[in-house]
Amino acid sequence: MSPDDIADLFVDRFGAQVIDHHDVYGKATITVAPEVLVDAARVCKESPELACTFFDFMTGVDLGDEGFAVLTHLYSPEHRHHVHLRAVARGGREDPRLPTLTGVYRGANWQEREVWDMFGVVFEGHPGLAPRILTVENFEGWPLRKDFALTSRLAKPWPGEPQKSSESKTGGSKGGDGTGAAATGGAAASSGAAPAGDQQQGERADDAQGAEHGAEQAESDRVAKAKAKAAEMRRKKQAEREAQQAQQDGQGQQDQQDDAPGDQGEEGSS
Amino acid sequence: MSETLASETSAGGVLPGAPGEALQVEVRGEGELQTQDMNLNVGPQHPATHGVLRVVIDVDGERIVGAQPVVGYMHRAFEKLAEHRDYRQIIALVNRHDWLSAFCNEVGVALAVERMMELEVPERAQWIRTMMCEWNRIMNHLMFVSSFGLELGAITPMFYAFREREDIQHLMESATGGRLHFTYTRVGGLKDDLPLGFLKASEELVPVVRRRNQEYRDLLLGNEIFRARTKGIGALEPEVALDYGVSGPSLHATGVAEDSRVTEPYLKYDEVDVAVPVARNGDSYDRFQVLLDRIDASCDIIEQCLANLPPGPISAKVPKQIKAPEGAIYVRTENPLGQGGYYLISDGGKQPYRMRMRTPSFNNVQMIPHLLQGELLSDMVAIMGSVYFVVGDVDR
Repeated sequence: MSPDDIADLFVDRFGAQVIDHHDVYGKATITVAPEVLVDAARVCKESPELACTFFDFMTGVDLGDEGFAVLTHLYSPEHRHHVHLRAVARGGREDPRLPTLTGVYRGANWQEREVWDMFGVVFEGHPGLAPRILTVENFEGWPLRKDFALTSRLAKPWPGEPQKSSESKTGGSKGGDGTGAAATGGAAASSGAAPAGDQQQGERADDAQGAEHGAEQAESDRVAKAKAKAAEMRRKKQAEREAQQAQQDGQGQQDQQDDAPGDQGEEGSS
Repeated sequence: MSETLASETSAGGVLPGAPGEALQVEVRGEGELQTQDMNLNVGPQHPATHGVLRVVIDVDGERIVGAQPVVGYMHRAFEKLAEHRDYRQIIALVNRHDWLSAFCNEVGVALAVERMMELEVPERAQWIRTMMCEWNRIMNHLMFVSSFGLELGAITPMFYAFREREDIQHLMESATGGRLHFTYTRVGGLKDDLPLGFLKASEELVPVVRRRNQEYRDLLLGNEIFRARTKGIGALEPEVALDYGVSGPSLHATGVAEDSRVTEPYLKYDEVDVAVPVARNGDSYDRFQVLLDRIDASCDIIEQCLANLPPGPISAKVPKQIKAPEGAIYVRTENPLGQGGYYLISDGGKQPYRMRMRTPSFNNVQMIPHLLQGELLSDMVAIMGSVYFVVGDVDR
């Protein structure tokens, strides 16, 4: 079945519960309401025209303030078509929840454990999400959330990176910072955004003064300065990009020689 | 336990310790022997685990009643790291999660980015990639052919198979500069063209590999002990395999010929004949047989690549900074151990917003408890060794 046919089938079956659907490079992506997720998966597996018996993988996606989406990829070896079944977890960033698919596909067990481990999305009815499948048992925080900073990159820029853009990507680049830190309660997760980071730096500077560590203070001053600089660079870059975008929109799609050839986004199916 | 108890009807005087009577226990009076489930910890380091996989097994006497793989000992946060690297650096990164299929992994990432950027990769580069994928596949399979023999007590295949592996490694090293982590692919093409003498060496090596593969077939598949230990052991049903998302040799052994080289051809697989060897029973023996057949199939593909290799450039013209346009794409490839895939979400920047690695070993290992259930403890190695996984590929 073509992606459009698959989308039609879902719309016929679930009506308004199908929130969104599009064709992504020849593969149907169907976003359904969490309430019908299990039914939708069952339709995928059991209806003869879809027959998606092959359970491929599951993944979480950080959507920023919206919370988290969980995408399940299903495939039909018989008809050779793909279905990306997508649902946005209820409960936003604080308490993301989705129903489990373990009743439909056995392979969902570990995949859901991994999504929980990495994003903190709770799957209701799952036989046992804990202990954490990939990270260590007492690990705090949800590593693949955007507000979980890669601390080694905060401390030291990637060696291959040009100096000026050293920090542009390390922080939470997609918004949704404070809430996530509260939800995770992890110490490592709190250094995501610039304001939180500054605060932390300030605290550390106080400690250093008390303990007569001048060098440490200088170090933390330097880091704070670098961070401020990076934040400024980020703002500047953003403005630049917007200006460029506006210009490009005006010109149409004429200049393709340098970067971004064929910027067609999600419509560009083969 | 009751079947191992001596029955009263075994008259004629059982001599203690006589051949074939070792498991029989004499019980006087009413009732059965009291048994207790035992918890057995296999690994994290164990010859049958190819890395640091740990399996906690519940046994009732000799029989396995439950098994739980404990993974994560080699988790290296590749998906997080990928969000902090640009696309060229990611190619070096994905070499490492499945270190036995390095080239096939890097091709997957390159394909995803190229399809998003709508880059036209030159013919020559695509043919070379196809050939390298198959060399890598043979290298990978030789490793498992040899280690599976070793796990069952046959030490000779290990020495033999590493001889060919070394030859292939030499060959790939001459082109890529790497022995394990090749990093030969670039977005838009390849790092370098093939060195002088590569094609001749390839041509000469293919028949050697094919001949030696026949030797392993005779050595192992014809071996009585090998057959006794693998035939009918750990049989997997096709429906269960699909339900778990099992792919690669383990899936093909059940009779399902799902192989993305055929069903969704990438690179030049649509222009060559790709044989997908399948078997019927899905047991350890069949999985091993499929593995050997796949080596032959790869040899055929390499010969076709050598015959079709056109001259020309090896890299497309790419911008200095590689930026995938906004959107999401899923690219799957048939890796040596099964279906590999990359789900790439880009926000238009030079780093991916999210990159999900779909690795074959993760789904395959998840299925292992299903196979172990009800089997004898002594068959555990024959089952786990024949699912063919790399722990780095499980944990990423």
